Amino acid sequence: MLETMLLLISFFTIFTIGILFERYILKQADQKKPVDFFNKQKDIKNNTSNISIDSSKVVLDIKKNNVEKHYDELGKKTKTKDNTQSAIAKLKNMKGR
Amino acid sequence: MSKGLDVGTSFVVLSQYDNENIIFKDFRDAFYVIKPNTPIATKMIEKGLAGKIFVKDEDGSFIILGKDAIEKAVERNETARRPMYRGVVSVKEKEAKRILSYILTEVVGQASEPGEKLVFCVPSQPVDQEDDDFDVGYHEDVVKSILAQTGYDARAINEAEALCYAELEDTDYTGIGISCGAGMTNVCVMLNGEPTVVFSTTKSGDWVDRMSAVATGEPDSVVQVEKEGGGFKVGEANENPVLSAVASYYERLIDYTAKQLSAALDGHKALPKFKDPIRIVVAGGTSRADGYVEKLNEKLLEAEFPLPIEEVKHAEDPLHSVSKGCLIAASILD
Repeated sequence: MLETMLLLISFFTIFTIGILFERYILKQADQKKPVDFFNKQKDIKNNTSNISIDSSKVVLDIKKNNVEKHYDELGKKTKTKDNTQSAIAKLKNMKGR
Repeated sequence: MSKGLDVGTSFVVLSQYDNENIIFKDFRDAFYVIKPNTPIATKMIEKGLAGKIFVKDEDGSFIILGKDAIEKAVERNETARRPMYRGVVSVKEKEAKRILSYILTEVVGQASEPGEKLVFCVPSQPVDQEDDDFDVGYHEDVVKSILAQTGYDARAINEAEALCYAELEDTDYTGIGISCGAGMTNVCVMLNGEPTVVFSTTKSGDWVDRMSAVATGEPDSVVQVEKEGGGFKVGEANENPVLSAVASYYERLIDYTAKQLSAALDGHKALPKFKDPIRIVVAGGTSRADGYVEKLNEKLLEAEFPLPIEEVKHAEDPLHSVSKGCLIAASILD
């Protein structure tokens, strides 16, 4: 009788652990799933002013006044016909925007 | 108005609309510093730099920027420095971050109106780097802050996701985008416009340069210039020893990439069950080597890629595709 009880309790414990483990695995998998760019934007508020950067590691304050430029413009320009409008329309439909 | 920006390890590419056209602005992400010791040396260096793109810093040193930096480094048998490493802001040198900030603000310019939308790309977490050295969050915040200072409302998008938006319209945004940059290879598996799997590998064009430089005893910049001059085919022998090493390491890189892709996707829980064979679109500066796309197709089959492939296609404009994808994303936000 005692052995049967122990066996049942063991089965029940293992079963419960199994369910909890499955939930954990599913939760982990869900967290790793990538979120597309447009869905991410729904949660983003314009919080650029809240970002704090370690200024000892990154020099953001470029003093251009103290730098003597010897060029007109940075970058080589090329022009192509705009073929993105149908892609934009299709994506807007797909993303419901 | 909106803008797209590909912040790459080797190139910064800005894209924006101009009536019925798109204007791309490319700038090489490189710099080289010359610090003169005497006033005479200063004059001589300045004379030698005539016609080159450079700035004279407040301490009197010359910072040569872009393609000219690589040329000058090659001339001196040295290697040009880069503000980015493996797709993110280089943590190796403080000067590099200042230069990146300078290049970005100069290339992008001031926003046409406060809060103008700008979408820039960031890489994914690599699958072949197990330590915690790589994190994209800090890089994203740094770039966002730089762009915010010039008046933009900047948002980050995954690099390969942007590529898919630019190149997979025909397949209703279903397929795989592979962005082969200088520092990393970024991958996005997309199903009906939803990215289902994104990851990256840490070997790409720079790895080819490094390994070929080691094999031939030449500086990385020399190898880079030879490589970008073309005149070799992936996996084929070449009379030029540098190009021969480049061709050989290119094949090894493609083999590595195909194996990593197959291993990463094989049995992946989030991988969709595609009903039809899928299209793989390849872009990025590293993919411009002659024979790259054909070899990738061949190596994917050899590596038993877990999905049936319809075709491996090269993007029409491989250097600008990611930036174009960013521009598309920015236009939808606008």
